[in-house]
Amino acid sequence: MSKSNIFKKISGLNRTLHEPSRLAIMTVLSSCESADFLFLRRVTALSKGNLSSHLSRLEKEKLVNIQKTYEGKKPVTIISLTKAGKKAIKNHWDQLEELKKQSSDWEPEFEKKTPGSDTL
Amino acid sequence: MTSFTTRLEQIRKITRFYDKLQGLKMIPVAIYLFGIALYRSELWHWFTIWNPVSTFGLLVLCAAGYVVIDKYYKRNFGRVTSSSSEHFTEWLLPGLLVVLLIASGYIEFYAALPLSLSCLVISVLLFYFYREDRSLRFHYLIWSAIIFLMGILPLFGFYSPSQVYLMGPDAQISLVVLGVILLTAGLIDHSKLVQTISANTETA
Repeated sequence: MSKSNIFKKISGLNRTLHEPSRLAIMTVLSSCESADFLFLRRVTALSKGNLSSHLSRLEKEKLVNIQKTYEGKKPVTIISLTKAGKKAIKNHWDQLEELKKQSSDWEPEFEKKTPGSDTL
Repeated sequence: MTSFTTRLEQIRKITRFYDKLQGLKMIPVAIYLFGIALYRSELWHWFTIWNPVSTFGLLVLCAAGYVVIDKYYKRNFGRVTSSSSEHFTEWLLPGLLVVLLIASGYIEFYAALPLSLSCLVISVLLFYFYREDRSLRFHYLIWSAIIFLMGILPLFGFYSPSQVYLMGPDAQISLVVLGVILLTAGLIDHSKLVQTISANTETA
């Protein structure tokens, strides 16, 4: 695989998902049916505001469903992946795995042509 | 990148096994087993003469304790609904094993087997827990081996098989050992849950 192909694939990654916090949120949600806001906050270690803004972005992209319910008087926010979200996170991890494999095979050109390397 | 992917792998595991890592829930179960062992050994006269009220009362107390601990986890760590593939291992498989356990308890007692069939069933269940995730749940391999040994030791004359029958009238050993194992395994699971979540908070 050529260098340009690898970089083309990297630039083709879904930017919404590739952001570390959103990748963590999506990875957590892909391991379960749904999780509440508190659990996501505990495992991702994000602040309430940060988590809310990331979830809004994901909801806007139709990758997650956000349901607000009440348990007694206490509000509970349940988050789950949409079908598109499930597909997107799976594709994203597949792409990352493929890139990891390809980049380990790739030998940068500057390592091949070190000046004076043939005299050593 | 590597530490980030390792962290993601950790939180993926924690999410997948969240229900099973709520180890403090094992405390009331272990207390109930100790109570039954106490009743069978007749060490506490009051508990024995008041049976079945005392046993039923203990069961109610332990069930209430279980509910309180469940609320503690929901309030402090949040809630997760497992994926449908996990439902099988969460409900159906343990349900089947409970039926198998009761059946093996009766078989070993009425057929007067020279070993404990119920201990072997529990050992298989614990081994299954270990197989679910070998790194996170490694300690279940040790518990599985201990219960297996406890089940077969009567074959070598270490103690009477009736002492390790699950339904046997003098089966205090198996209940106490099982209680200690559930308690220790639960505490280890809980500490793993807390450690992973605190590590995430520190690295964030």
